[in-house]
Amino acid sequence: LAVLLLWNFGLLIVDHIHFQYNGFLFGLMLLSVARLCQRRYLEGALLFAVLLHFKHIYLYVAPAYGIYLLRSYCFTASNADGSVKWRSFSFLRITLLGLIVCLVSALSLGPFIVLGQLPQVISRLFPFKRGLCHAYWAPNFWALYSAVDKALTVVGLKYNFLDPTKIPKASMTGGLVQEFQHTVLPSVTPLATLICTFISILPSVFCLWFKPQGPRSFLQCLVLCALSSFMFGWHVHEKAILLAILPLSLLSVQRAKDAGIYLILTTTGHFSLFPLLFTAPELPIKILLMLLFSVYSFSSLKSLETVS
Amino acid sequence: MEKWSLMTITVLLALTVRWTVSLGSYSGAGKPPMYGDYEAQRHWQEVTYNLPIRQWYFNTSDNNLLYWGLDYPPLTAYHSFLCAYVAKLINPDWIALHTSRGYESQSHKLFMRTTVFVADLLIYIPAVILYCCSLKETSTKKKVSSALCILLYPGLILVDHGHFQYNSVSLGFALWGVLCLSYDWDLLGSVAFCLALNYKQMELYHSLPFFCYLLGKCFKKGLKGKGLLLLIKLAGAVVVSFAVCWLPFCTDVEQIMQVLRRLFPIDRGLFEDKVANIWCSLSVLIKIKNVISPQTQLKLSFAVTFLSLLPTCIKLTVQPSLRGFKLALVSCALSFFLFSFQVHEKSILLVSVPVCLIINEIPFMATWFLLVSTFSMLPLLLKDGLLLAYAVTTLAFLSACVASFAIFEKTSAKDLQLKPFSLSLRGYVSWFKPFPKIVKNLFLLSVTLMGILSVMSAAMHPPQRFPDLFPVSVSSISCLHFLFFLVYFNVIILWDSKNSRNQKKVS
Repeated sequence: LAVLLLWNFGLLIVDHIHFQYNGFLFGLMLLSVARLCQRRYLEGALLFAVLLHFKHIYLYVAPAYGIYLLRSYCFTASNADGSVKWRSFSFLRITLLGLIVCLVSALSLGPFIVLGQLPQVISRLFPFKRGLCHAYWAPNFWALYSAVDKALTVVGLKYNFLDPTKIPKASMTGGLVQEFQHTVLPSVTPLATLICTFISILPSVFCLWFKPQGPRSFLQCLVLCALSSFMFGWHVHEKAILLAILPLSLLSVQRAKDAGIYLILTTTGHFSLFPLLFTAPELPIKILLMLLFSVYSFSSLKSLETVS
Repeated sequence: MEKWSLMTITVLLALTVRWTVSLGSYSGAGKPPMYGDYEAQRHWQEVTYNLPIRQWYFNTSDNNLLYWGLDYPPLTAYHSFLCAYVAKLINPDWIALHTSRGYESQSHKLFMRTTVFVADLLIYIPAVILYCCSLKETSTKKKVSSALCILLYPGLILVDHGHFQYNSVSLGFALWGVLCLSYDWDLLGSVAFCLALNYKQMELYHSLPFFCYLLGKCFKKGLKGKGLLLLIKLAGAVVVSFAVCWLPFCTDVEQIMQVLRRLFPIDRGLFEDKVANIWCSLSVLIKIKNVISPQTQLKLSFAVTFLSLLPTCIKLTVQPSLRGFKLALVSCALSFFLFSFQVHEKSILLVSVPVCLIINEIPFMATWFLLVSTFSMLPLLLKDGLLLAYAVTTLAFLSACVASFAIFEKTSAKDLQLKPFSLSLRGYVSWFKPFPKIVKNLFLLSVTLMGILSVMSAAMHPPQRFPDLFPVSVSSISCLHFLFFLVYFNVIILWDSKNSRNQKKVS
């Protein structure tokens, strides 16, 4: 497990070659997950709040945290069949949680609130003007959507359904970060993506609410939230796939079925990160490292499976 | 995990390290007018592609031998020709006659690095993997660890993929030769070694062990019958391989003589630059070059070289064994390195690769030697700007060896193969109890010293009075180490009698 996490190919090339600081952030996330698994809920919540204020991409998994903490911590006991016991709601605990979140937010956003710059900060953090897809399309649902739109445009032009003068050239694939209008299919608004994301995380969230089976189900919900937000979010970076891959590593060493899913996700996820390194000298490195990681993960997970 | 997946991971790791090193600087980067080895290789591509064969080794108006003239045997020339052919398909400017001198660009660097990478991948790496898989009486884990440590040996990686040379081709061919001989495929082995020899004439360092081992085998089979047949077949194979390689040059005796003159530049003197060689180290105390005439220098170096390797060669001819053969490769090459004429510091690779072959038998000494050999090339590496690569690969290699072979526990006399020797000495010396500890401490001392000197060479400026202080210290210390290793390896070979091998089998 240590090798799979430390030498994760995606993390390696994103952090150390492309250059970002995701490593220590994922460390924080794993730490908070560990704390939750150890049932030290407050520390886990604190770590996650800090994490959120480092990079707001962790909002993708915030619902999982919220529901889990609410369900397993604020309701101190469950009924025999695992459903919610409304009576055991603890006001103290929810107050504590709220206090932690507010404290951390105050620490981080405090100066800006005092200076009255909060709206500006929020608009920088959530740049809805940047368009549905990033310059390099993240492999999510909207990429497929745009591709279909492009295909339909071509077909339309060929059969003269559409007026060529009204269509801007190379609108979505141009590599620029702007807002675009789809030509054939209806355009997508930020609200639409939010609704899609919300609908897609509902099943996992419901499971977590009604039948929590401890930290395991929390991890599963975490991964699902991350993946759903990746698929349907507004302006997703392809690096966000790491948010789903790394927690899944934790699950993959426990159950064979999870290992299978993990292998598929990792291989495709890492492959989708290839365009990040585009110069020719880096080409053999990314191929070699990818092969190295894939061969290692396949063979080690397989041997783990045969042992157990 | 299964063997194939472990081996695949090892190979991928080795390839990644090689390519990452090759992203760094090369010899002579941005240093007109002569640049360095990188420019030499590019120039050979230019010469071999644009000029007819009869002009390759001659000084003509188109081919100025003073500017990196060809000084390796024909196979190198053919290899350069092949690379030039590919280069022409990509960008003819790279090898245009005269105008491409000193050509440097990102894409060209990528091309040159790729040629080294491909050569390594095709010749050297398969030989190492097959060798490790063919090791007898070793577990899978040991086989994979050996492969990992051999492939991570920093010296070869840094010289080939950093400084820029094609040593992996000639060393790879020699390794194929050893591999074939270990399967008793003597003819194939000799052909492979001839190819190695025709790629770089420095492989002559290995020629004596090959010769003595095969000769010993012929003697063992009886010179009247099978032995004589084998001898004739081997001689035939050697002659044919040489003929095939030298075919284009056999039209004219003058051609052959000129090539030989380029291969063995006798008038270049006893040594150049700072080498971890006896003559260079001695010249710190006595200026040998001024004391003895060039002719005497030549004779002296030949005499000392041959004297030092005579015992091993005789033993190998009389008692040919595969183990003795491998050890003889080490000691003969080391003798040549220490005492021969016009030795370059890169020639230590010819000793290191045979040492890699015995890494699973004597891991402690092998690791020590390989570390010293990389250290001895430090001045060269610093000149090329490969400090980071040097530090990282050396540390990686050391950790790999320590983890794979638990070398610190294998320092007893028995593990160092010194049992027979100590038995004969028992009468005279009786302090062998703390031997493992002494050896371990010596190793730690040596490594610390090398580390300190590396840091000092990289970080500090030498004092005005002794501008060459650091390179000279590095070579002298390495030379001392090498002398000690020479004695050690000779002792092992000479005392390795049949008795000790029988003892091993019984216990």
